Amino acid sequence: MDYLIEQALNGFSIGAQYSLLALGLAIVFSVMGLVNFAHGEFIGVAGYAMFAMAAMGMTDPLLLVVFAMATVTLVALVLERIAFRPVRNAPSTTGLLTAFGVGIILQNLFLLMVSPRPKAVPELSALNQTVDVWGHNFTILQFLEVGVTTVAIAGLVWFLKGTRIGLAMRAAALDFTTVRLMGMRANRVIATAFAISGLLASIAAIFFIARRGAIDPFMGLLPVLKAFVACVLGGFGSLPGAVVGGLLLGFVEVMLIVLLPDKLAGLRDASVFLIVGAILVFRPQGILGRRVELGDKTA
Amino acid sequence: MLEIDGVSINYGPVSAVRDVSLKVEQGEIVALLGPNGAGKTSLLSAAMGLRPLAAGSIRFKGEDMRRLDTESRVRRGLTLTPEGRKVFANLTVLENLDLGAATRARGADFHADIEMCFELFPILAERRHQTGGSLSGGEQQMLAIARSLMSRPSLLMLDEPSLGLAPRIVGQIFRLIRDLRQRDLTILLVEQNAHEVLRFADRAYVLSTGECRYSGPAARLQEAGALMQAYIGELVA
Repeated sequence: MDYLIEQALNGFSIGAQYSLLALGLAIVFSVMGLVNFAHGEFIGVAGYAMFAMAAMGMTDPLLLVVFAMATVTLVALVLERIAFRPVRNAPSTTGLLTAFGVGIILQNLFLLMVSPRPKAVPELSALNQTVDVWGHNFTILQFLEVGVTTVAIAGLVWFLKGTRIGLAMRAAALDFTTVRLMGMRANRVIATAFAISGLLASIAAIFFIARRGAIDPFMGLLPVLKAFVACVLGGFGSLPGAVVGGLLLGFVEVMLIVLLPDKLAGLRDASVFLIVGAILVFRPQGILGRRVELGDKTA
Repeated sequence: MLEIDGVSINYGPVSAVRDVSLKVEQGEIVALLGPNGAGKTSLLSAAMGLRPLAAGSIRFKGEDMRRLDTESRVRRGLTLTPEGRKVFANLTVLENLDLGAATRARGADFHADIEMCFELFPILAERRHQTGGSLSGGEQQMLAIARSLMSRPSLLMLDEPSLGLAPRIVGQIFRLIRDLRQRDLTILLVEQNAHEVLRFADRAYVLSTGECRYSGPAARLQEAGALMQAYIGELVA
């Protein structure tokens, strides 16, 4: 029982990271129809930003976190301006290829400018200390992950419902032309979407780095894939769907760690995708997605 | 107030509008009539900067609009209620109105304008927390017009406000458009429902297959057969 409660929180906290990443993907996708596969590299940007600052002698964890978040948000805005804006009106495959290109360039920048080998970023490792709560062992990090993610999602909901630019982002998901007719600048709406996706990714990145204590040039690959799966699972483009998909993915993963015997541990990721596939057989539109009419395939 | 001069618009190799000139003076209601595919909607989109011009110029209050983006045109008092209403279906009535005022801050006069919209369309006040998608067609058209008014336009362009509405609702919408004139609004009204509109418009233009077939007083088009002549006259000739 103890073990179950501890693992439940573990599933929640890992799922929270996926949710944050998936939300960023979904926000950019909903306003401009772009699946930003360079999204995972935001984790790398956060990691190498912290590494660089630490190497220059700044080791205060709080400052490092703030610096990493600011850097990632800025990089997201810069990428939107120089890489994605020029191809905004091109076919969607062009945007997708641009995203892959941006990802590869960033990975190789990390590789060339620092090292192809993993580097230690131990400044946040203190968060892995366990604390005793009513006889259960939890880490400080797990509480932070769940708490901060909850606050971030609440903040996002407020932003989308309470501010004009937030309203415009929700409206643009369905009809961007009419949003422009209202006098809202398209550039502003899309840049804001990128800034938010970067900010959310930077939060996830910090947790990710705190758990691993190390960074490497390709650390963003698997997380962005998982976030993509979380989006598909929740219903692509749906923001609540991204959150639900991320949490579900985290739970399934932790559940498999618990249930699979050690001998089969290597099959963990395969099993996760098998379960996701099975869910999609029954709900192809995702958990919260709306079914799109695709025509009669039998005729 | 609005001067469209020798405008041509192309969609790739296809020409949608050829050398059309049109003028709207302060305080007028001008009708832009014509069958489906005549280029009326293209002309309005171009006026808002959503379509590039192949030739010609568009001036609003004496200012050349060609270099201004859509947002700047809205700021200068030009606004379009698009064809098919285009209400934001996932946003509430209040949120729709809020976005309509995107070029202004949410100050005291913003709230006064919301109240003004609710006075004009009491049904919207009742439905203020419902989503746009849950409204009936007539209510959506009212919301679309109210949303346009939130930008405090001096020229309101309406693209087929009667499209797909029941006759009783159409009468209501047209009455409302006439009342808007008393609020210092100039109106350019695109319609297929020509006979109704000619009763209250000052002047009319008829567009057919991208060319201007008639421009003059609305009353003259009401004479027997004149409208038909303008619609198809040149095609038969």
